[in-house]
Amino acid sequence: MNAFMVKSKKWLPEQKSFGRSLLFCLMLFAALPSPRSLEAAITPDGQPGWFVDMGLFAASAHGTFSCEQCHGDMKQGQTMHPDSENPTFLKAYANREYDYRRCQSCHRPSYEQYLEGAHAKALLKEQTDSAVGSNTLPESKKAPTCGSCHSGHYARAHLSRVEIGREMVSVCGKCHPAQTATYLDNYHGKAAVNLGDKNAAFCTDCHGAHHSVSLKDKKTALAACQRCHPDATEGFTQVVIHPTIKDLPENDTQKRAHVALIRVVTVLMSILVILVVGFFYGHSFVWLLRELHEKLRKHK
Amino acid sequence: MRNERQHHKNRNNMGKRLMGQFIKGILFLSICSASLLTFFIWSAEANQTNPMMPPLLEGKARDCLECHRYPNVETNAGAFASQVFCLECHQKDSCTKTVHKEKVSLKIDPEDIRKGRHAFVGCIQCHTDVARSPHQSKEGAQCLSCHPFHNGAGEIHAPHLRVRCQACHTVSKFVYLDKESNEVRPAHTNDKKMPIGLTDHALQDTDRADFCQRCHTQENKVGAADIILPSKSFICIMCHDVSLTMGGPVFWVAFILLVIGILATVHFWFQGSVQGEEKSMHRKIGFVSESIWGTIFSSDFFTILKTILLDVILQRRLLQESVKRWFIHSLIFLPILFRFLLSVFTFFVSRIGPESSLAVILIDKNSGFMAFVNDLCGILILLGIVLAALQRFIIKPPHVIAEAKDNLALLLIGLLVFLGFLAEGARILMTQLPPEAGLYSFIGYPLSGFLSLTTIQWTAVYPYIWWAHAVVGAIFVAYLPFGKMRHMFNTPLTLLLNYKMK
Amino acid sequence: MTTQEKQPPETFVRFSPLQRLLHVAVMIGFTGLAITGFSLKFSDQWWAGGFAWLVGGAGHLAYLHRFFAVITYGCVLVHILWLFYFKLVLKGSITGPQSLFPKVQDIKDMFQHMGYFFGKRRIPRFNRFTYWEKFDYLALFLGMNTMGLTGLFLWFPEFFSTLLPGYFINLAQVLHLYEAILAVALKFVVHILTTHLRPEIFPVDKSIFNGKTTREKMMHEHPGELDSL
Repeated sequence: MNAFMVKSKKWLPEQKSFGRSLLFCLMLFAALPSPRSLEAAITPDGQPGWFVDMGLFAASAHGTFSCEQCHGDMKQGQTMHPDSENPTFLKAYANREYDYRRCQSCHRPSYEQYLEGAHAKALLKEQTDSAVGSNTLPESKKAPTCGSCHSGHYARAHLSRVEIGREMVSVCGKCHPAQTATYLDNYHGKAAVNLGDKNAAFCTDCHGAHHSVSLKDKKTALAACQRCHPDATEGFTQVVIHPTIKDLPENDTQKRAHVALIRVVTVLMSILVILVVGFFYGHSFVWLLRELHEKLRKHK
Repeated sequence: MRNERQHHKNRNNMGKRLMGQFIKGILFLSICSASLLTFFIWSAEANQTNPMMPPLLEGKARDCLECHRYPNVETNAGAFASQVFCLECHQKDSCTKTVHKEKVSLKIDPEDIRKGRHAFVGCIQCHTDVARSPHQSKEGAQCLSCHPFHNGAGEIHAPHLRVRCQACHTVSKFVYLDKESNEVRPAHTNDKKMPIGLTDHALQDTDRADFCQRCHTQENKVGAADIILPSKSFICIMCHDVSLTMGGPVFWVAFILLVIGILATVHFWFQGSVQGEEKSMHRKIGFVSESIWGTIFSSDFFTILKTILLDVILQRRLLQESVKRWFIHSLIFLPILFRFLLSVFTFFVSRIGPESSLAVILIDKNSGFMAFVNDLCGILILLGIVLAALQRFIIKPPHVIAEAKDNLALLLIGLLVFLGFLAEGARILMTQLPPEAGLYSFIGYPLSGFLSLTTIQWTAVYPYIWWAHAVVGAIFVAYLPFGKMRHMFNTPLTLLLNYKMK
Repeated sequence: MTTQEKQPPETFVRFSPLQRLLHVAVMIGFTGLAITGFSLKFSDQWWAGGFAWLVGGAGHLAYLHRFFAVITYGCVLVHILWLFYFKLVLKGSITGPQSLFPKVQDIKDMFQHMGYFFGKRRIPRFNRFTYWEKFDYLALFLGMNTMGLTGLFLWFPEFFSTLLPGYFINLAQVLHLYEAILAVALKFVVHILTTHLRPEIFPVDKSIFNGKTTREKMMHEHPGELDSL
């Protein structure tokens, strides 16, 4: 990837060299937000509000920073924010307007890993491909920036892998609801999220927190599985974690076939269960009535 | 207690003490007057709505947090500050938006808020999602974060669960049905299709006579009945969650007839002798009461309970006779009993805990639980009636002697349930209930599908069906003490009186 | 009635000690499997999460589930071995009229029995095992093996995915879940009702626990078997 020609105002991913190790990335999980503060920072369709809760901010990882350290002087040429003459300066999503290059000064490894991942590629495509204008997509379909997953104002420091992983399940779920739902139906979701098992995998453990890779390629998938299942082989990667066809490309016929097969078996089994259980429940109920009747007559 | 000596002793430091007192007095006075002054200046300033944002000139220092600090809207000062922040733009005439090339005013009159009930409520406490860029609200004002929807006005609010608070409680009389959320909301256009601003913060007086006609008019598009129907009468409690009102003259007549019937029956019963006493009604009632009291407060109490459970509710004596008859009777009786108990339960829950989610589920006819249970009970009753009619008119076993009174009882119940389903189907169709909610009404929803094949204007027809159901119900209640349905009271009474018999 | 008789009622042994032991073991194993299994499936519910916390987390839940599975499947294996013993050593009949082998007569019995429910026909003359007991046994036999096999798939997914493509693990999971629902729904309701809580044998049919039954009961419930003795 070469450096792309970019509009100077917007933040764009630039080409970076190979990122740091996973361990370093894990340490940076500490910078992730808590659920309550995330809700306070990010409204339902993913845009932060105008106001900052100073209590939560003071308790956050960035609490000791001044506004200018991250937001700069909020000046464009001669115009300063807020500009009463030009209200359109305010009409933008903060996630899209903020220059996230500023994050890399402290969060370099995460930043570099993000650039290598699928989210950065999607963002690049969105901003350079004029056909996919960023104004036409709903917020949940736009590629994420740092601010889409992390609250700059309320993210707490030193959270554990389990705490962060659990919160990130709902964050990822905002754009990938089908995958989150199938994950929570799967053993990993139940063990990790519901039962608090430290050994089970969160979204970030398989897909990489900032790499956010798709596991369609068998080799990538095998590497992900083998982090916890050292005996896994290529056949193992064909276990379907997300039996859903949402967001699957049209040409992935193999996975579509697998998902369809699972669904068919599920439907058949449910019909069988309902029929058998229904029949025998009815059988037992009527039998019971008849025996009650006989017993009552006997004891007359 | 101070004596002379102590008083004299304090004279030694009197100078210092007096000085201290003087200083404290001055301090106290200055703090008081400073507070008063601040208060007056502040309130004066607040009334003037001075801009909170500092001047915007380059080079001048700014404090971001002067605007971007989340105001503490729990306090009056914070709420006021929040209002001032928004009114900065919104009290100007130039505050407009352009909709389809038309200018729509977004101006708010601060007096509406200041003189209204929400004077000490910050704007963002209701408009929770508006303080952001782009500056528009998707959710609208959130009334339910402070106000329970039930609010003691349950009888009015229950059929109006799908109506947003603002559609009734704001002054704009234009409403529409939002298909996405299946809610009635204030419309953004008036009857001439011109866009209107909805920023009038005066609240609507909902007691006005013409107020309901915002929706309840002929050929309305929001799915309301063309005429205003009364709330369900108290006498409908055998199946429905009801109000404490009687509802209308029809129900009053039915109730009076019911009471007359009960009194006549009891009078008739007490014509006979009670424990030898023939003449004095007072003594007869006394004997009966003593007897009842003595039985309840004795070890026979548990036998009574067992009798109630096994004989009254589960009808084991009927099961002893015939499984088929028990089955048909239970199909009719048990769902009615269940609905009655559920109605009474709902009545209490909605009065004790009107804000609880349980109350909401029970009151909402479209909630999954209520829709399913009501339809299930209804279809079971109807099935029982049909089987009973079959037994009576077609199979005609020798022990069945069908009198006109029996047939009337069957007819009343059958017609009541049938009209109930018809009303439900019409209601689902009229209010355009979406499939996800409608599916739980597994009888009503398909029925509404059939009804939609016709070209009838259901907002006009629904009131007739409602009244037909109500009248049949009223007749049923009025007829209770006179016909075969009296067995509802007679049979348990007999069973309990004879509880010692096997 | 029996209390008036001078001598104790004649008893018959219906279940050998091994069969009684296996039944108790399967009871315990099955219940343990059901509780631990559904605690994982419905782990987002408060009762499941609560139980998981009681046993000490997901790892212990899994361990207990497999523990009970080993017990239950052990019973199946012992039973299979016993079948061989019964056939080869005791020269018993595993397809005869007094066996658990399903026959056409059982279907006829079922229809006649259902006719009795509606008051139209008399109770059929059952042999040693009635049609519902045969169904219970076969369903259990098939069910335990299905659960065992799919359970093994889920226990050792890495190994089994070398033999079969990975999505078979998903299929195994679906089968495991629905078979579990079927088994629990039938066993905890139908089996308990028809063998212990039926009005005729209320409160409990002790014969599976003490192995004995009386002549009167035999006459009533299994007249065909009485005739053959």
